[in-house]
Amino acid sequence: MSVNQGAATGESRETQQLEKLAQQKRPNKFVKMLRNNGTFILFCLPGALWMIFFFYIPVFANVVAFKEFHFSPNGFIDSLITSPWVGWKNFEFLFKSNDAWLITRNTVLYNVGFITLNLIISVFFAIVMSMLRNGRLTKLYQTWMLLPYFLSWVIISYFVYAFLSPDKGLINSMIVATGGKRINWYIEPMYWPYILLFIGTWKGIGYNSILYFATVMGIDPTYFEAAEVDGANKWQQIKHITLPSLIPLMTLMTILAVGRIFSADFGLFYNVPMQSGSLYNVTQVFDTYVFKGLKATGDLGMSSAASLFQSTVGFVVLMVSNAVVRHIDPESALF
Amino acid sequence: MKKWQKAMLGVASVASLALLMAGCGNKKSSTGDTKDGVTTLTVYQVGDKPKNYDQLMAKANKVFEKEINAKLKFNYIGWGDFSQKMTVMVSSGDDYDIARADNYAINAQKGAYTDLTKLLPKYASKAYKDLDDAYIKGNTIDGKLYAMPVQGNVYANANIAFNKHFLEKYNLDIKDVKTYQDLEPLLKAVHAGEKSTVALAMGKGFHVESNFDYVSGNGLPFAVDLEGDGTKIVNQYDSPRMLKNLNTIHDYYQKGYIAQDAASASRDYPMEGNTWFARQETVGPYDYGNQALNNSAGGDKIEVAAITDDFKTTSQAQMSNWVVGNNSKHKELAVKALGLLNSNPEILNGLVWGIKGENWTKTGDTTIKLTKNFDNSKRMPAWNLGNNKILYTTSDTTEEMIKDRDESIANAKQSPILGFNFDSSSVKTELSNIQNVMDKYSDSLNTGTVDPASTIKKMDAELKTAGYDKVQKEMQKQFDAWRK
Amino acid sequence: MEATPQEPKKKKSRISAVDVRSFGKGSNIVFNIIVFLFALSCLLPFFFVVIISLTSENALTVNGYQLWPKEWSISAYTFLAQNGAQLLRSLGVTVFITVFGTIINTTITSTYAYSISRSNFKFKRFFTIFCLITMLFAPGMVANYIVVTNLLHLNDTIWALILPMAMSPFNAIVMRTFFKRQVSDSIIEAARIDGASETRILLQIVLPLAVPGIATISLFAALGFWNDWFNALLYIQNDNLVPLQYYLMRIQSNIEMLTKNLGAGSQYASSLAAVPKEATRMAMVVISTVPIVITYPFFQKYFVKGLTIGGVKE
Repeated sequence: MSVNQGAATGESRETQQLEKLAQQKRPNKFVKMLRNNGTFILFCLPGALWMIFFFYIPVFANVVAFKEFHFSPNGFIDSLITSPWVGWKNFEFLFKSNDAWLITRNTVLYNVGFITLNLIISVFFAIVMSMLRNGRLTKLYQTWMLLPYFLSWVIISYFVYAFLSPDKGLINSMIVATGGKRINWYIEPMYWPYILLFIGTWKGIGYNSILYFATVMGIDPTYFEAAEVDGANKWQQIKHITLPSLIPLMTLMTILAVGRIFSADFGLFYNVPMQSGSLYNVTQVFDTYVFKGLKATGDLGMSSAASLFQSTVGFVVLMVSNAVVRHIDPESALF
Repeated sequence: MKKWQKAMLGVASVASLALLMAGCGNKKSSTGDTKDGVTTLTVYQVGDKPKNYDQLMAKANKVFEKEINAKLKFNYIGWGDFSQKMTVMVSSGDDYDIARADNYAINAQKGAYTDLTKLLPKYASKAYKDLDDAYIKGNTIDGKLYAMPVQGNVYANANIAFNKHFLEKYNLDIKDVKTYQDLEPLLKAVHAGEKSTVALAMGKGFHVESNFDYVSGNGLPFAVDLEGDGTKIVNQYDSPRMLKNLNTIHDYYQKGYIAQDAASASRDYPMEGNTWFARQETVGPYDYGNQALNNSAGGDKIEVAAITDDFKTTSQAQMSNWVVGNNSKHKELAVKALGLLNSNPEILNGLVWGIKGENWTKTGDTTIKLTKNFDNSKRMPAWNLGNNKILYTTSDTTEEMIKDRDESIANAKQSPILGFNFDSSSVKTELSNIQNVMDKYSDSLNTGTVDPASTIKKMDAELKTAGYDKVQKEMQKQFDAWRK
Repeated sequence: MEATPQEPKKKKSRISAVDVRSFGKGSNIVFNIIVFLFALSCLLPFFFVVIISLTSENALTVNGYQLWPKEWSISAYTFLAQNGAQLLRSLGVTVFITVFGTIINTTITSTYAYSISRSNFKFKRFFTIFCLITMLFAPGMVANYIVVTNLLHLNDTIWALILPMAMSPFNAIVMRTFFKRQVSDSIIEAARIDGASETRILLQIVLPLAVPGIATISLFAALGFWNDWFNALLYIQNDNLVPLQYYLMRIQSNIEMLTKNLGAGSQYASSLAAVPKEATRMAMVVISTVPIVITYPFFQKYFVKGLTIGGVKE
């Protein structure tokens, strides 16, 4: 091995020579290729196999999005082949609806809100926690803040309900106690954009802020010492040292989130508003719309169409935003 | 660049080859094993596994083995997941043998199940002959029967169930309750006297019933008026009768008889508790009036009053269907097994009532007595298992009650759309839009949370843009063609 | 702040960074309060779940969810004790697939990512694109089901819970960037000249540098395995292999069916009479979350440290 490694610099010339002799010395070239890349191929093999089995084989079934699916007694493949083509018909329900605009608006706007809030608040808490004087307390806070991350949306919806229930909720009890008039939260759409934004952000803060926190803690302390010596106050230190070092991670997290701009957290929008019809205009997002629209028929073609559309849009947005970032700062790009 | 393209092509072809392999050959799976000549049939059932499942099935399988040389293996899937799991299994062409049908009409139309039209009379003749006509009519799709229906409540009507505790306490009489409107004085009394009791208990998913039969379930606005023109498909919410009922419910809501959060809450009012006074329940002939409700309340606690008429409907006929998988390798055997399950009293009663001697003892040919140790979790529910007609009855079911039951079944009228199954493939887009519109309004409308007249107006306008007219037209066209 | 006299002593033992970047005493209190309040709002739901699990069924129906119930009851836990055996078994399954699955997932994902991050790997472009393409579509549930049951025959085995989540192409791409940035070519080149094999380079040089990245993706993977119930729904019938989340899910969905069909009570009641209700449902959440809550603080130390090492290097 080691002898071969030393020749690495002359590799390209050697390759050219080898290519000339390719026909005569084919096995030799193959052996050399294996020697150079064998370990890498071995490393890639499990992952590649996994993708073949769990992506490349099953992905072909996506053609069902363009078919009117019927069952055949000879199994799924045969059903797929014999079902008639219907073109874009399965996609129609996504665009032909009177609510298509509403759903798109809600999904995108909520996501923009989540991305912004998450970024600001997580970074805020990360920096603040890195500056608290008692390390033990900080750890305790972090553990607490991570708890919502582990609770399912269904549970959180009960919790929210305990506050907002129209007749027994805590908030209404407080309003009544102070002489106000009860609010029937679950039929008043005006409050819900804020409620949903708050809860959606709140759940993820713990996790995100820990990611940022770790990065802040990793900043070389000598920077701060130097700044202190120069007479910079805390705010100036944050502005000139802490924030710039967080930018790569912030960009990364944002690109990842932007790639999911057309997918909404189903549990948040479905469970937390208790599926109240009156709130439809502010709670209906892409995922809930598809779920509700198809729950009666369970049409395979239409559900495939919906997910195909969603992942395609997500992929395009991800690629575009990554390209933009790469253009500005190649270091921060995802790939 | 070219190299990786070539490689991609290579991978793609390998992948598709493997895909073909997966589909065509290699169909060995754990279902339908044959051991010592005894075939094990795989059955998918909804709900919870009984605690003594192994014991129950050992007894039943003895008979199955003796009669048809087969065994049954039940796989239980929870209520909430059943639909999803069955969709995946049916779509993937899984070779299960028997399953409780999920979305029967749609899947049957798409060809997911084995056609039983000829197999049932041949291999399960006894059970087949015992079926009420309505079951066969209601499950026939394009002239073919795909299911072995579980005979039970062939008709059912909406009832208001009352908590006896309060009836006695306030000395109330339910004899005259025939409509929602008649409830007023009773609800008023209880509401005035009881602070922590909901007078009329309801929650998310509640529907005001009013002698309509629905083409695609009561969640969608396509109905036939059972009191009016049975040949027209209409929106039930546009009928004056429905509006009157909705207005009444809205009135009750405003008066506080209904929980303020009824439209969004899915709270459970335990049958046996006193957190409720009145509630809507579906009751059929095999429930013997209030008996089934009393059973689940654990004592003589419930009274019922019917508010709709007796009609045999498609949804009742399709309430609980056994189907044989299209890819099953033991179709005939599966039909034989279903035949036995629905005609052999030893098998069925052993499963439904539990182990003889432990849960019950026999008191006559077809009558039994439950023991003191009767354990509800050590038996299977009857309504989705087998022919209720061959079930033994407990001592509180008198012969007169059984006679009444059979008479009322014979007298019940058939809904004009019994057996009409709408093929929705040409209006899928519109239907999913309509479903979303109904989701928006249904709960708040039916629980009386909002003013009916103005809400219906808004809803109708949205239904129109969602394509209501197109679906209605198509449905009417198919209905007219079907009636001929 | 009685810690003041100790301050000088502490200063020596601690890294100076902590003090350099800390708040002044006044603002420390203010910010402590802000963070405390927020952290409390995160702790509250969990407390709330614990309290509901201890509320009597009757009080729940009459008063709804309350932060301080009028009537307490431990019936939920006594009910669970009856099903304790199944619960414990399910917990065992979940722990196993979480630990084992996370190891597999992290290994496969990071070795793949490492390979495609190396500039001298001839097929790096091919394998990168091979991986990128998987992000374009979702393969679809039904097709996946067929692969697992008919092609791999994993039905009703523990592998059906692990293999479908054994790799994350997305994480592989993220990790690839991470490797590229954290592990400079010059280090690897030096090692190669020293005669180290590729495997040794990965294990002894690259891996220690990549700990923060690996910690991050393994936490993602672990949470994925811990919370997974869908694969169990699709592939598992055997009670011995049912993971905790699916077991809870099943009970929960059965309860929902009961409450949703208030109007069809008579028909469903008999099949559901034995099913636990609200309080039990919450008690189950408590039981399924407690292991995380207890183990996380231990884990957190390494997690944050792991991430921090990466930061220092930069």
